[in-house]
Amino acid sequence: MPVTEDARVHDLVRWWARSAPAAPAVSSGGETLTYAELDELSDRLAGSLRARGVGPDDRVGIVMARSPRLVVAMLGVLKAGGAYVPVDVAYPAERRDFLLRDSAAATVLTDAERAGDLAAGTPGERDGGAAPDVLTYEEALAGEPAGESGPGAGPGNLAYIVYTSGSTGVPKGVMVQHADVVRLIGDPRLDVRPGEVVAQLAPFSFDASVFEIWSALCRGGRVALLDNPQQSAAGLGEQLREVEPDWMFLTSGLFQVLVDQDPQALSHVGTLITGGDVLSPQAVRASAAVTRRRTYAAYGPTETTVFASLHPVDPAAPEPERVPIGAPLHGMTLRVLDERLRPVPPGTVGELYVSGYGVARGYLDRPGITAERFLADPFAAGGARMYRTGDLARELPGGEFDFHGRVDRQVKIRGYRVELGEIEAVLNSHPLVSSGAAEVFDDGPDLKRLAAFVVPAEGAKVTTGDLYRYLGERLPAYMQPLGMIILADMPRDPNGKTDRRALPYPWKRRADLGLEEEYAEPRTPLERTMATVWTEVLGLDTIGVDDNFFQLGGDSLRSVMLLKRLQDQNVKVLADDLFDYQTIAELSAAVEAAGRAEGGPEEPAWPAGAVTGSATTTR
Amino acid sequence: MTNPFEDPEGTFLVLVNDEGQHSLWPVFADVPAGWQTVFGPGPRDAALAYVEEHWVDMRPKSLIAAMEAEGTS
Repeated sequence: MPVTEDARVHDLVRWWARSAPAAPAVSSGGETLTYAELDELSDRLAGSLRARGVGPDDRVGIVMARSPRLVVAMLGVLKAGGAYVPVDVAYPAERRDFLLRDSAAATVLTDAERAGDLAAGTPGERDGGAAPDVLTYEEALAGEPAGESGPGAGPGNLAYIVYTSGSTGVPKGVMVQHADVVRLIGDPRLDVRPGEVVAQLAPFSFDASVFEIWSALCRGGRVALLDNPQQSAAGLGEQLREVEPDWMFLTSGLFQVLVDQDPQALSHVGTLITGGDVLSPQAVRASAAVTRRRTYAAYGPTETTVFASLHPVDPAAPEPERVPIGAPLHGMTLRVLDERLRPVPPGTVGELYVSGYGVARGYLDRPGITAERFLADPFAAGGARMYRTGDLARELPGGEFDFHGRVDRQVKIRGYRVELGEIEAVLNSHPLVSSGAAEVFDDGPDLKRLAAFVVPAEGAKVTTGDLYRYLGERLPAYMQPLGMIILADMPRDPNGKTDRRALPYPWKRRADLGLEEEYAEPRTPLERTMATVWTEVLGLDTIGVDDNFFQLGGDSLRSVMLLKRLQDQNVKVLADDLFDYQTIAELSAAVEAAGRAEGGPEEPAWPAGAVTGSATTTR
Repeated sequence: MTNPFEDPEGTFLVLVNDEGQHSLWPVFADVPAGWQTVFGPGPRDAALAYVEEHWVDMRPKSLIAAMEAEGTS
């Protein structure tokens, strides 16, 4: 079926189910669903949802673990006419409940093992409102197939709601319509061919998954779910060699790690798309030299449906100072405007506005914020709108653009959009906190770290441990600070605002980090080796053996650096060890228990059972 | 560089198109084709309060009509 403008996402998938029923549609390890199976299962699911009253523009929350069933659930919601709201199962309960409540999901699809948890405290009930209907995947499959009868969604109805960070401290749900997705998939540069494999790696709650899933399923390709919970290069390279994806999207952070540690893995990828944050020109060039087809640098806010522009990297071209974000997708326009909304001359930095295809409907139930960002387009006729990105950009000769940072305080950390104000709002909501600030410190490409600064309320005793737990219950992992400094006074500028430039760099002296643990000396040779390597990687003056890696400024990229240095010293640590053993004492004990310090037997770096089928590790 | 839509001291209009979609708009810029002024000039807070009060159904009007015709609204 040609990708036409009036198609709905599920029409395109259904067409492939009719014309190539036996073709693989979704795979994960050894498990594969054909198009016919995907079609039939999602039809049943849609029937159950229809029977519960789900129809066009109705939201259905999906709280399910990564698996092919999640793809069935998404397609089932679309076939029922509804819009899916993906909620990461790793989110704290409070954030999960917020998303379900905010999206006004009347129905929630979940795994059997999570149903009790959701039903015990459904968000609507706690507010005194109607409780959402919690439906397990198995229950939903018992429905009569919906078929194509009954009123369905039109191309202007919602396909999904994805939440983004908000400057007011409250996440906003972006309303994306079927036509937006269909137009994205129709871009000639994203022309997935029947039978091609698209890697699926992004969390389902982020809109990169929209490209991964629907560009495959709407074009007869196969979505291959990869499993890489710790986002490590070792685990990823392994899977790329096995899956050989024709298409893959990688966030800039993981891309950089892969290029640094295992660039040959990229020779197993056809077309690689990377973006989300500033990219290194050397890295994209190295990638373009080995990918089977090409490497694209991509740019795109969630509000304009995944990608707004793509830059094909030419490995033979002279290396630019910064990697361009490229030229707009088919049917989209990028404009750089000044503070009077006039186009700036080419080559001048201004604020980037996106118009045309893919501009979402707005923020769910937030008319005010929508009217601030989705604006009347002065360059188009007929009442069209344009989206104000908040990004600074410049037009280059030849119609491409490059990126020059954010206008406001939104930052990207390992590809995730983080509004510092949102973290501050949570800090300031703690009853024992008088004033909280969050700031990002940039130690080089992809080494950005978040730190929190807290002034306790008058006479209050608050520990960093309490605050880490408080944040952990309210914010996703990528928004957790990696350092917490208790201050006597918040530095202020003459206007009384927090003076961010006066906030101290947190990761120099251990004593400044306000750790709960007393300093404990290393006791064994292994602990001493570890302590030396830890202090080098983390840049601290000293580290105690009971100190937690992630409260010392450790993050996933530094964990990779740390593991590599330990391996260089013949300490056999595994990719996931640091997530299981977060102190020097624990990690040393684990290494010794496994007899790995002296070159014990190699073990798979991949947790057993994480990938089914033949994905065993042989390093 | 301050964005004209973020200026707390600025003077704004509220515009509406045929789809009923609302847009904040700085008074210094010409009103784009296809948009009508429904509020202002006025301060930013008042303009946003107007939007919050009047843009209740955020579906485009053509979609509302289509959904009513289908009986799905």
